[in-house]
Amino acid sequence: MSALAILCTLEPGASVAQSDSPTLDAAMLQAYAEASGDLNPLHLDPDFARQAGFDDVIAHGMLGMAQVGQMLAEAFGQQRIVQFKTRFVAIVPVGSILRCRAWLSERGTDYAWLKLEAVVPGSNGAPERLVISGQAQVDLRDEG
Amino acid sequence: MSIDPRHIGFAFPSFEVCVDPERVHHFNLAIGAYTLDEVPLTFLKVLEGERQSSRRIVEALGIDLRRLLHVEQHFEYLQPLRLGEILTICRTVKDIQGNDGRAMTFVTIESLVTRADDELVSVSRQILMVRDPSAPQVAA
Repeated sequence: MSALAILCTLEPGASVAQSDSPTLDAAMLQAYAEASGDLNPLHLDPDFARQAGFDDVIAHGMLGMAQVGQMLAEAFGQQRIVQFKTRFVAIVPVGSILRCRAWLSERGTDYAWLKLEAVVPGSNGAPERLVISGQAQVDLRDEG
Repeated sequence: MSIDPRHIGFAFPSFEVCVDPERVHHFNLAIGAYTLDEVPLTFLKVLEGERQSSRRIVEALGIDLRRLLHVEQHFEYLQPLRLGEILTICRTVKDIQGNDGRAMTFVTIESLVTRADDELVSVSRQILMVRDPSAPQVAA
C-alpha cells in the first residue's frame, strides 16, 4: 500500500511522514549557494553574518524548505504536491540537522492538506526548536 | 529601514529560463536529494532567481542585504516542470507592509511561470522581512 493510499485511510492529526536532513554544515551551505545561485554572504561569510547580528553563518531558508520538500516527495511523489508553503520562523544555525515532520490536517475527496514542521533537535537536555512551519496540499485523485 | 510603497507593482522584465537537466542534477546533489533526475519542489526558486533578478529587485528597492531575511515561501504547482523545457518568468513586487516607523517591513514578491503558449505552470510567492537597523535584533 503506497503512502498516498495510506493517507486516504488516516484521520486528521495522524503523523504521515518524518525524516532527518543531513547536517547542514558550512560545506553544504557553500554547495547549496553554488547550485541555487543564492550567494547571499549571510550564508557563507561569518564576518558578514556577525555584522547582521548573528553568531555565525545561517542556513538558507530555502535549503530548509528543500529538506521538507524531500520528505514530501519521498513519501507521496512530488507530482502529487500541488501547493507547498513554509514560514521560516527562526534561523537555522550552521551545523544543524533538521527533523522534518508532516501530519494530516484535513482530507477531502480529491485533496489532503498536511501540516508541516521542521525542528532543530535539542541536545544535552535542551528542547527541540521549531524553525519552519508550513502546509502542503496533496492530490489524491485516482488513488485510494 | 523604510521602503517606499511606490515600489508596489515594480516588475522585473520577464525572462526565459531553461530547466537545465545538469543544473537540476547539481541542485539535487546539493540538497541531498534521494533521486537526482526529478525536478525538486523548490527548484522554482532557482529558476526565478536567474538573471540575478533577486539581487536586482533588492537593489531596486534599496534594501541592505544585512537587514534582509526570507521569512515565507509559497509554491503552487499547476503543471509538472519538464526537464529541458524553456519557461518564462515574470516577477512583480506585490505588496510592501509596515512602513510607518515599525521595526520591520515585509515585501511580497510574486513570480509567474508560464510556457510558450502562456499556459501558467507555477506561481511562487515569497515574503522578505527587512529589519530596521535602529530596532533591537530579532531573537532567533
